[in-house]
Amino acid sequence: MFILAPADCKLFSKKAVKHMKKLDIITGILILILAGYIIVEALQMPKQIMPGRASYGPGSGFLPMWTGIFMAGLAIFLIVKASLQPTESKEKTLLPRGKSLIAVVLAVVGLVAYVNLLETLGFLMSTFLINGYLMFVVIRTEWKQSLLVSVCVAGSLYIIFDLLVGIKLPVSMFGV
Amino acid sequence: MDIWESLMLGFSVALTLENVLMCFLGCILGTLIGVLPGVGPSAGVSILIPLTFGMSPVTALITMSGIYYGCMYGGSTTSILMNLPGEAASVITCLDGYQMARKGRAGPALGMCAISSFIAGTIGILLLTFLAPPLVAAALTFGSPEYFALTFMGLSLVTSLGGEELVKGLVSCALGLFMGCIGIDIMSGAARYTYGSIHLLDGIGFVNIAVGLFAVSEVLLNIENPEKGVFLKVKMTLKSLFPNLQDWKVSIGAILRGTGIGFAIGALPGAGPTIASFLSYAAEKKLSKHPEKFGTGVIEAVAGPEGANNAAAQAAYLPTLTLGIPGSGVAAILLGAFMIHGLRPGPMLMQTNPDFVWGLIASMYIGNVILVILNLPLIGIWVSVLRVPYQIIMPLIVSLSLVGIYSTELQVFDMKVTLFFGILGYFMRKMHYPLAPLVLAVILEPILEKSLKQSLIISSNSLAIFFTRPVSATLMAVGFLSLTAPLFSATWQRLRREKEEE
Repeated sequence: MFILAPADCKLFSKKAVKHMKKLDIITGILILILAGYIIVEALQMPKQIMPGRASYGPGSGFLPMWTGIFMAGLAIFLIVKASLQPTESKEKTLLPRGKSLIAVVLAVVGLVAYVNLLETLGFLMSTFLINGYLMFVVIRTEWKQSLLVSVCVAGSLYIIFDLLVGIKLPVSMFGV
Repeated sequence: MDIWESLMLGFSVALTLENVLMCFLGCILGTLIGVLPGVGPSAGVSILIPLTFGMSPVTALITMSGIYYGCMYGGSTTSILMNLPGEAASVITCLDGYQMARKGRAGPALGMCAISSFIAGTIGILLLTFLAPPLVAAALTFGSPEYFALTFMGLSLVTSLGGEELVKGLVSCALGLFMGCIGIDIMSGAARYTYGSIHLLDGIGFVNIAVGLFAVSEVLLNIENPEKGVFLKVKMTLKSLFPNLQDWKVSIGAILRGTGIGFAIGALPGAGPTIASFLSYAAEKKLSKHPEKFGTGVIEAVAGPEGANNAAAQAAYLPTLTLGIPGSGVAAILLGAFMIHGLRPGPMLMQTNPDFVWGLIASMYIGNVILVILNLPLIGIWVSVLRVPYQIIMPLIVSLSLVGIYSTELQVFDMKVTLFFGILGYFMRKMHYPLAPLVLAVILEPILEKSLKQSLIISSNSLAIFFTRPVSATLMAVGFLSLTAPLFSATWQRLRREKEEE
């Protein structure tokens, strides 16, 4: 098992782990909050399957509670470890910036809109729009290619799922 | 029924026209997914699960298995021609494969990958055939404490072997356990973390989680940072694909060693083909008379890891089919697919559905032959596929993922859950939190919780039951050892360094 430990293998060396002091502290705090919520909810669940009968086994809150406690311990460890790490002056952030950040945000906004408008606009229209949006607006592909690919993707998925497999995809109020 | 009779039963199931065609389709899709950077086997298998709902369980799993080991064949093509891995297990092939292509030896590199994959895959399936029945026989003696210890060991191994930081892997695992708790508790019937939502009463579907974490997050990562490889133009003829005698002389040992390493690693729950390929490369470099040449284009550095990743892919089925514990991240998704098709994975599966188990194993022999044909004379097709720009593939991946999810229960809520996990997966990958422990924990949580509670009922709430039974104690020890090994290793290395400095 020692030879399989990640610390031994140079291919999993420290150079692959970038310093992320601030981000690790923030995520540690978020995980701690989540763990607290899990524990609080679990404490309100029954402690035993049959109240007053411990021999019938632990209740529904048993595993969530201990999972929450374990998670809280890990979160505290992460926060402390990240806090004790020296700050590097040239800390390379792993989160996107500039155009990359805009592209990711636009993609997420588009996908959220797609999922929420699917049953209003219908499958064909909404799928055509999201593909066109992702290609033309997010990735900045040429409009002709975007239009062609969007039509092909929406059409082929409709043929495969609705006509061939027989799954009824959402239609708009216009019946399409 | 002895092994030969079981295998004949398996071939009688696998050699129907429908199953051969679906195996062929799975191999083509798998090779395509492996060839295309940006879509890994996890994403590919999980996206295609909804399309298999109308099929019989054996046909569905034959198709998805074809995709899985097909990816192992196809992933090396982009590694060699573009220095971009098609999937994680082919990362190491970039080091020497691309250098070989730059020296004008792309053909032998591609050919050796296919042949090595075929040899290792065949040996891997043979080992699976002969090791599965005795393992099932041993597992049939398992009780609740052994099952809890087995799931604990599986989660520990995948956490400790799969990521760069152990603590982050444990967080991912704990998150998965929490996700698995959402819904109705099967033992008490109480609703947990559902807040009255009827959608959450059945829990969060693992397909939603898998597609979101692997497919949608991959798209977001590629949108942020589109990968661009330099495509090396190579002339492909069948003759040019075959390695020469000198290549064979140096590679045959590497292939056999890679097969052994791959199978041993792949059989460990959670380890997977990626780790197997890295370890094979490290082993070949250590054993080589000219280790300084590694990284400059040596063929054994391609042959060994490619054999290892294929053997590991086959070996992943050993714990999956016999114990119900996934051998890799993709095997975890396949395990979920078993359950969706009404099969209960575990040692009883071989007894209650021998036609399914042996049909699946027999289909692997067929699939292996199909893949070597697809990847040798037909390699030119895959090379031309590489020219398709990512801008065209990306919308298809996103739309196919979300529509596939919608098709499972015809609910937009499932798409929203998938999208949520896609965004979560994106941030997890950016922050170096591994995804496999989360998925595995979601799938194993019901088994873990049920066996834990049953064990505590038997022992009157004493945890000693897990340490007083020999098999259970051994499995728990392996699990704890895998979690503490990095700590010991780091301490040992520090002490050794201090001693050298003195």
